Amino acid sequence: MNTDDPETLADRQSELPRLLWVLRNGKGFGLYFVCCNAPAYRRELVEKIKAEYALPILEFDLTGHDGEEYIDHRLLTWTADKPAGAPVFLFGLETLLPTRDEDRRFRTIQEINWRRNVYSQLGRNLVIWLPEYALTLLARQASDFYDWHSAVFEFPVPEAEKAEFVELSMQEFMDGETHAANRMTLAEKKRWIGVLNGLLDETPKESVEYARLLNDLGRLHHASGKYSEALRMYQKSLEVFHKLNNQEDESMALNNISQIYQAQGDYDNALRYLESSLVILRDIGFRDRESIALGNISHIYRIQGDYEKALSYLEDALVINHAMGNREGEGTNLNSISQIYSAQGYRDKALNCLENALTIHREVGNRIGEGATLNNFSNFYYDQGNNDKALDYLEQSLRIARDMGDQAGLCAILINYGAIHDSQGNISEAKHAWLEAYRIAEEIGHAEGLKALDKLAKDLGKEGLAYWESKR
Amino acid sequence: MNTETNPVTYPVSTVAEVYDACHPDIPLEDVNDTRYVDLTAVRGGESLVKSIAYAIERTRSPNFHQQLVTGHRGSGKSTEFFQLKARLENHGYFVVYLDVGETLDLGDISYLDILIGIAKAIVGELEAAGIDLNENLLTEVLAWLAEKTIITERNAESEGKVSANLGLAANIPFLAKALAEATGHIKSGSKRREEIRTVLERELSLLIERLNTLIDDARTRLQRQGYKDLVVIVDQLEKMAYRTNKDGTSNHKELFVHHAGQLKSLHCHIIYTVPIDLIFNVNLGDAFGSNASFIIPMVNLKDSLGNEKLREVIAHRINIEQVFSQQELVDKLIEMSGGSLRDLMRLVRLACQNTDEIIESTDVDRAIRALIREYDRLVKEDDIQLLKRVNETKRLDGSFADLLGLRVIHEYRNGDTWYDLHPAVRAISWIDRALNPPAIL
Repeated sequence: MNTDDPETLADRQSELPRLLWVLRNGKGFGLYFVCCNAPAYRRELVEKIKAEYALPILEFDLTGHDGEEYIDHRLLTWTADKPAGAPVFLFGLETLLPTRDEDRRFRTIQEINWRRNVYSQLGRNLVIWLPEYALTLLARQASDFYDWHSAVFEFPVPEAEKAEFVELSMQEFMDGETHAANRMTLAEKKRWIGVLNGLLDETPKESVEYARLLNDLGRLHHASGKYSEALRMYQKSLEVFHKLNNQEDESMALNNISQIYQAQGDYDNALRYLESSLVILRDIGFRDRESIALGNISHIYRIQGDYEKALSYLEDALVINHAMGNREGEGTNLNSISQIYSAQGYRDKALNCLENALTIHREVGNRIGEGATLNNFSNFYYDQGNNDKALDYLEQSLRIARDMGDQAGLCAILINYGAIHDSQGNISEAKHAWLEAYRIAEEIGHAEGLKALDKLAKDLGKEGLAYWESKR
Repeated sequence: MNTETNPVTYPVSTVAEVYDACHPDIPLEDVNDTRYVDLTAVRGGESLVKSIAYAIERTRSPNFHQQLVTGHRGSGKSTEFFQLKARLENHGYFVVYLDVGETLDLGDISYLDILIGIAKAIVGELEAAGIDLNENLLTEVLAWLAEKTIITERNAESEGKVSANLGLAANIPFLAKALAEATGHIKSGSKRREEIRTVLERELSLLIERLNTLIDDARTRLQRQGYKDLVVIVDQLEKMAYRTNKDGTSNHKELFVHHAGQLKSLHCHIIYTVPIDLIFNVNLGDAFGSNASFIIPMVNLKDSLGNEKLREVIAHRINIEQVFSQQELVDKLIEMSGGSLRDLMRLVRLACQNTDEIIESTDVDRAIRALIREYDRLVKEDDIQLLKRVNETKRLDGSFADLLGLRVIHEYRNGDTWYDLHPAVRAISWIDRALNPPAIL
């Protein structure tokens, strides 16, 4: 999304009042969609809406729906004895629209499409909450149903969970191969996009050069948070690499595409692309890249909470790295494994992995890996409420990020740094760190960072990003 | 559909009422609804109601008029059908309206289902109108249906006994119930559906013959009561799911082209709605005759009458002067709708959201941006080549008909037929860039 555009910004701010307006004024049946990618942010929004709306809202979650009964039937039966006129918030429809199970998806889409008349019997407002990819799917494929709506409300994720934000940034951090796109200032990025577009016109289509330009443009858009543009570029580059039978670059494009889907919350597609990439890498025998792909797949399973699978992919990666004597890879894997143990509540195992990872990173002199591991140590102690230790590790991590000139990483660490101080009641120190994070994020056009800072300012009761700008 | 407890008087004057008055998904069922505006003049000049009504009135037994109708989603097909139904009824016809979406399974539909669905609808309407059929015929048909296990023997027996006690053998309510049971199985998609279809397919010629005997008897009795003839409207069929068959053809083509013979075989005037992608299928013309398709195009905004008419549509619903801060705002909304009624209604609703007093220029602009974002969701990168082509040639071929279905591309008529992009699609920034590349210096 283009965050510079004041109209877009104004529209974003009017989404919530508009939604409240239709809840209050829409009589009888009305169909609405809310586009929201992150479950945590969704919960936050729903609470906010409930507080402001003040009348009952009926919440229905389809997660785990077996498909035996029509969705509308279930809704009708369930709402029969509920207060008249109370709107229904429907969640979890995306779980019936899996990207990988075509049959299931098709059935759900068709069912919704042809039974749309039954929904109107609800006689109340129906608000369906969906992640972006699922809404697009519905719009194109259940078009009769979708076309019935009276509004779509979009709530782009401000990465509500601070921890989640930090983790995403750390993932890039850990991959080690920081692309030039992540180091440029925003102004530089804009200039480069212009330059590359110009080159694109001069380069013969269907050449490797052309595809690489597209890929670089994709990285630039990606780094500026413009996912759909980035996706278009990556897709095009993939097409050309594939035509040229350039498998190595094809696997890279597949990987990049998966990162976009992941950022949009479409984990099925992210996995699909990563798996295609994996097949190619195995085919051409690029074992080091194979281990990275395994790590990325594991990451997606971890986000989705499938820790067993996440662990098994990482173990495969670890076997490869061990066999190849790739100590750096081993260190990275151990660091990731610690995060799974941590999420599973195996604190000792997690700590053990972190210690091993740190030893290896220091032994081979992998400073970026060291920084990431130190940050995870910090999270570990922060979760335990040991703020002093958390701060201690984070300060070490901060020093490394400054030394390495990793702006994106630095920005993430500073936000965490501020969060710890904030939780200790040390507001001025927190603001200080966040202000520096804002300067960096603003300079490099770090979309995720800006979103997090926008929320932090609002949590402080200020007016979002404008607050940091005024403090510069 | 939507029963309003407090009848509203149109045009309405407050924003909250406006919101309700412009529901995009409620067809105007009542022919006297004051919101109805005849848009024939700005939709190519041919009136659906009149042209189909004339065609039916001109076609005399033993010939029947068969009609296909299609149009953009939300263009008012169902509203026009309710007008057509009322007109035909006024002219002495017995009209049966079948909403396939309610009776059958649009996710998986076969011509056999449609035939049974039509039988069910006709018998149901006869029952409602208190018109009986020949008793022996009913007995025969019921026995046949039971023998072929289309209806279950057990039910036929027990019901039969009850009927016998009442001194009535087979009667219309019983047949209506039996057919409803069969369509119930078909709709639910159970194993019974496949059994029923297998039998029907095997017995197809007999099925059609029996249906026609029933229909003919119904017509005779209807005519005895003063009706001119029987007309069946099969609506919502255009929403059937799209599937590609093993041989590469679509299930749409399979139904309307391969099985056109069966769909045309019934002894009554009949109107089917068809998916809009089929209008490019030349074989459809062969199957149903070249003049058999009626397409409801978008309102042509190229001449000022289109704008006037759509303003009239709005004025029939809402008091423009009291609701909009400036008259010109309505023109802006009309322009952005591209002549699509549903989008016009949606735009008005979007403009209402978040205002309680009066709709101002900022509300209208916000509504337009919201519509543009919605269309941005529908257009894919791959579509751009076609969009460029349509933009230049104002023509369309069949390969991209789904964009017509999504209203990304609009069809217009004014003697000629032409195609153009929805204004909201044109306004999407990346599409605008692709259509109007900056001059190279």
